[in-house]
Amino acid sequence: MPSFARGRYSVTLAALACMGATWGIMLALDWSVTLGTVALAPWVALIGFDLGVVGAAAAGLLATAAWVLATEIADRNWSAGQVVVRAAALVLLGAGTAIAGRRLRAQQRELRRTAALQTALLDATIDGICLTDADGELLIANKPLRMMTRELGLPQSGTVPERLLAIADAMTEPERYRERMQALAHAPGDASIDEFEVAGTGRVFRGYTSPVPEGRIWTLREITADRELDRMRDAFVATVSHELRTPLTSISGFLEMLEDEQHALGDAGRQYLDVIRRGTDRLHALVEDLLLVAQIEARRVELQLAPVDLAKITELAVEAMRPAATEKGIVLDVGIDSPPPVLADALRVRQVVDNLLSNAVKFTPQGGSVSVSVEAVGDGGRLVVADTGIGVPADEQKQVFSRFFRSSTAASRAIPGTGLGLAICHALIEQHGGSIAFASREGEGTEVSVTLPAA
Amino acid sequence: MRKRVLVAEPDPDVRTLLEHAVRRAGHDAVAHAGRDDVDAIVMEPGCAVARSLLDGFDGDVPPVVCVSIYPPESGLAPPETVAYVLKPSTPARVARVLADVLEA
Repeated sequence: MPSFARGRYSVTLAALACMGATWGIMLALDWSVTLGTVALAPWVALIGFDLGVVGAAAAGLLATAAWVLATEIADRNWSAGQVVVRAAALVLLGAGTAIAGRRLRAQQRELRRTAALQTALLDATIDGICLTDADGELLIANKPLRMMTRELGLPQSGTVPERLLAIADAMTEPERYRERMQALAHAPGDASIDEFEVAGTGRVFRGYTSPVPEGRIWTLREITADRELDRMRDAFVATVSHELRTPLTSISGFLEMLEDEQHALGDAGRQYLDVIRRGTDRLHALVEDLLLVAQIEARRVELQLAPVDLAKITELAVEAMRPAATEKGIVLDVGIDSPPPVLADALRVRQVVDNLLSNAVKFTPQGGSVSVSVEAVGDGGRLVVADTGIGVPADEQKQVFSRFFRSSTAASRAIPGTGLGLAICHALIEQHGGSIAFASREGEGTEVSVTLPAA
Repeated sequence: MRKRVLVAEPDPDVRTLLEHAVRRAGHDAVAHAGRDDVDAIVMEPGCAVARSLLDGFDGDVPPVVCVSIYPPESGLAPPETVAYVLKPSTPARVARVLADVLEA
């Protein structure tokens, strides 16, 4: 029983005992009356206050009053009338008690039903769930959690943080696991989500914990299957990226040999070669993006960090993009300050800037404008690329950094793309310890801002 | 002076390109050769057959140029590797790398 309920009952009990005693002393100094009233108090206290109970208590008290009154009037010489009155008072007291008893039984049934429903609900989930008190002592644990703890070999006693700490050595990263669990034990107000893998089994779990009034709730979910799917997808992406390289080498290589011989071709032949070159370059870029995504997922991208001039990189990228913008009649509005150097990998930053500029030009219709600005911010430099393009609908915006995501606005206009650019930018900027923000309004434009830490 | 370069590449089209690159660098491409006759090797390290060719050199392997579909960090390159080119690459690029390696 939760402690707040125990507290409420004991207070009620004490209050009613005092009240009963006072009634007795006030009305008759008659100990039997006092005891009668006091006897009623635990019933009321146990059930709590509701209409039936108050009714029963009132009936009991009325009976007591009637009894005392009759006693006073008759000056303790019991006539037949007094007997009837006393008997009536006793009947009323009994009736009140009976009503209270029924009420109690009904409430207990309801309580058992609610508890059974709650247990069924908790046990039917796939997540392991438990509740601990403020000291970490286990209060309730559902069936999946009991199963998981058995499988993980958690000890059956101790506080929940202690039990979790006891299996640290079974994890693939015991030190990180231990650190997280100790941090949790010392910060009872913190919510946290952690993933950990059990060594030698390939089983991966995600634990979520959050404080609740006077305790903490813990949720454990096995995500082994999700991780396996992720791994398969990454392996597929990597394989595709590698396997495309052989045919692409043939195409690029023989294309280069053809280009060496293009004096032998007519004008039409040379135009065809240009088309093949553009297609090959696009395929090449796609393969590189796929490889980079696979490397990012496998955490194999190593940054060559050095002080980097964000303004200079942006200027070079803008100049490279200018012909494409001019061809579409898009105005490039450039406002570049000279922020202090940022700590970054120059090649990766250029890749990010190229990506953002190419998106802006690609998704902005003829005659629109793209503005590019670089400025110093608190502790680093910020690049903002804003366009007057087709934008991304509000309900799709939270997905823009997901791999292979393409907005409905881009897809419906058949604008080519793989949905990898922003995912790559996001991953690269995060790895730099910087931040990237996306804001867009459908039909009006998009703004992406990137912040990198100072060198 | 013309040197002999062993080309070990599983894809016939790509092999043609690599042989072209060797000639473009001013050297001769060979498909099979005794260990004393080879000055350099151009190979796809992702190919097990190509890697097994190195065993025939009894540890006395000439400089290797890897031209691979796998990135360098995949750890496939043999220790004798002196240059690494990621595919898709063109004959001109491979010829430049090879010329640098053989002149060094």
